Amino acid sequence: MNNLSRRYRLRPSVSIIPTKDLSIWEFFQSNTRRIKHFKIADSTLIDMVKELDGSTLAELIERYNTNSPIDKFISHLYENCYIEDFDIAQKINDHPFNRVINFIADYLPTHESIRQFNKIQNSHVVIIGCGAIGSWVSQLLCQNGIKNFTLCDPDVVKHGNLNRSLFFYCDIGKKKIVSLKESLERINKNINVFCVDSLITCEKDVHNALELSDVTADLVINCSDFPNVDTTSEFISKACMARRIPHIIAGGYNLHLSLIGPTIIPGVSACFHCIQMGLEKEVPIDFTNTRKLHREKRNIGNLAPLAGISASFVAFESLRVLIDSNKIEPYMMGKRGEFNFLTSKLNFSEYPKLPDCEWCGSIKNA
Amino acid sequence: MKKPYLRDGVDVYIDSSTDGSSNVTFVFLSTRKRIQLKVRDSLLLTLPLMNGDNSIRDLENRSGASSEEITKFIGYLEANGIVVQEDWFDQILLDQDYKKLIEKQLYFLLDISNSPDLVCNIQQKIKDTSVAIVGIGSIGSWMLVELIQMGFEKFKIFDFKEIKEDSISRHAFFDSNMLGQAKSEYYKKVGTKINPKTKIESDFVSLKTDSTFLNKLDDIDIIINCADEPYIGYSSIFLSRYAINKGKLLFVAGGFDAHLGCLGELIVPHKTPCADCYNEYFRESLKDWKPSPHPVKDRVKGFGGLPSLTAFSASSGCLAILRYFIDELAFLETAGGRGEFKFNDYSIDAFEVSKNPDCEVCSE
Repeated sequence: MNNLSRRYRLRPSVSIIPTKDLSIWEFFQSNTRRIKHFKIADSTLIDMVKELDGSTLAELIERYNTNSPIDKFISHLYENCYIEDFDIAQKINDHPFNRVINFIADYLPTHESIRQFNKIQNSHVVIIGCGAIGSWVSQLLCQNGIKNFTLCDPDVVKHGNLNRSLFFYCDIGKKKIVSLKESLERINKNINVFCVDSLITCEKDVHNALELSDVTADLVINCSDFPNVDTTSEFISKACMARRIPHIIAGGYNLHLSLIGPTIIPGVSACFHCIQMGLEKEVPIDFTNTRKLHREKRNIGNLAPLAGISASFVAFESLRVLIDSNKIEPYMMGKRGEFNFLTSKLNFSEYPKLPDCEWCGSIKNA
Repeated sequence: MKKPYLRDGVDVYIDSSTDGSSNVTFVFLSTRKRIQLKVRDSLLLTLPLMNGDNSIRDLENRSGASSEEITKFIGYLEANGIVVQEDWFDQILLDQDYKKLIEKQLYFLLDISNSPDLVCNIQQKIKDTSVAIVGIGSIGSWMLVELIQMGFEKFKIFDFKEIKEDSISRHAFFDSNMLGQAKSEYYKKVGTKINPKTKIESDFVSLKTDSTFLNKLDDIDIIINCADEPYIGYSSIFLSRYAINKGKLLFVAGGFDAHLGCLGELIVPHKTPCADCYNEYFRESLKDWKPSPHPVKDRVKGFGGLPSLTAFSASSGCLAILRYFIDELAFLETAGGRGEFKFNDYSIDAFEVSKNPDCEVCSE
């Protein structure tokens, strides 16, 4: 793995901190706030890393007179993302998406983070519903570097959308997908946006939307809550399961303002049906024989920061789905979360993949 | 109350029994608060009729309950924020165009405050508050967008840099056609594009080099510090000392390089810890945590970040400000501390920070 002429440096976002035990050193990845302690008996090795700013492995071996296996130590630090390839890092510095690549590089070695970023860029994400959450998610994903989108929504921008959706006043009266396409093209001129100007109401509509582009969808995100999110999630999920496409059920819609929805990887995670079965078991005991008063067209309001928080989690998850590595897997597989507006606390519930699930029980790991 | 309206933000669960009454549970969706009542079946029939179309006389005619019973029942439900007058929205004394833009937020505030009068007071306060954002980069630009969406209308924004190519993964409404333009000038335009009635003064200036900088904040009610140069600790103490002296609110944002996960804190003069208190707290708690000098001299471009982490930090900052505007006393009960979001496992670490009784800046 190690090449004698490869140049290394300590990653700028990594700090090395001494501890009270002189042989134990703390390595802190500031991007992801992760800490790992290393017991390093040979102080020469730690001196070497603390000075690591572009030396080749050959130079290090020559400069540091030690019997310790420098190449193994360097290899370990590199594979675990504490040091980086100096020459690749210089290229990342000049890259417009240097922040995103450097973030991914907290999980993947430098050469791999570049490869995965290129994969992310060429991914195709289908967003169904371009209101509050959909408008945020699409722009955040575009700012992550993703270049291929299909946007589905038949609605026009109205005054009442502006308190939480990412549209301008001059967009009022325009189709949401048109305004959003223009926004994404302002962010990045080199993107492809396909638009579906109709309401997705059934599984067949989802299949049609997925076939619009020649580029296979890598991820589908449900941000549509009409007639309600359970209905849209069910038919979107069915279509995605049939095509083995990962999908995310976003939160943040009416009546579920601060929900963080699950990520579903067909054959790997709990599917929509597994989660519904789990939710049914959760009904509080005191509500078992209870009926809910039905009311039409409820409006419980919404606000920008809650849309921003829900959308942020969808974007986090999207990145984890699109990066094909077990070092940074989707966190929301088999989970639903909730952000508490009053306390800023997060709570998650877990739902296992059911072995005999009628939706996913027979699907083998993709 | 002429025509009661069962609030949209309250779910109603009915558990019927055979003794002529039912257990009714009202669940407040935003706060998850529950109220349980035992309700006679005749009165229960009035609940689905509380849709804003029916008067008390209508409820009486269609339920069999007496007018007196219904009035008492509605009085209880109104006092507890379960029903409101059907025209509560029309009664909010704010400009019609303004209400149209923030309708959803007014519904949200009703859900939290349970009172149309409080909704009006909170939103009027938001409308009248002048905000300064110092540093209109990644966090600052997202906070500006969200605060405008929340109905704030008066801003001064300060920055001394231009939009660059790598702003693409940082800034709200990034526009690749605007490379080289001053951030302060660009975000003035963005702000008025969201709400044309927003008044934004922009200033191409650095707080570090302009000795008259603080004078520019004299007519400001809340200062938002997103200036991470030379570093956030320096700019926060500089602005905090001024804010405490002048009795202004200061929000110290998080989300910067090396502080990606910090959620930021709202400083209320003499009531919450000030930036010096925070500085002292972290100086003491981190006294044994001394990173070795870093071999890479210019590390600026070596830090990572995600636009969604920026949006998360900015959004949680805006929520903290909104919580203060909704209920200052409730906010102060839990104020004083710093949260840190961990991308790795979606957890939030919380550090409780108290006011330093010996603080030379904020102790009385």
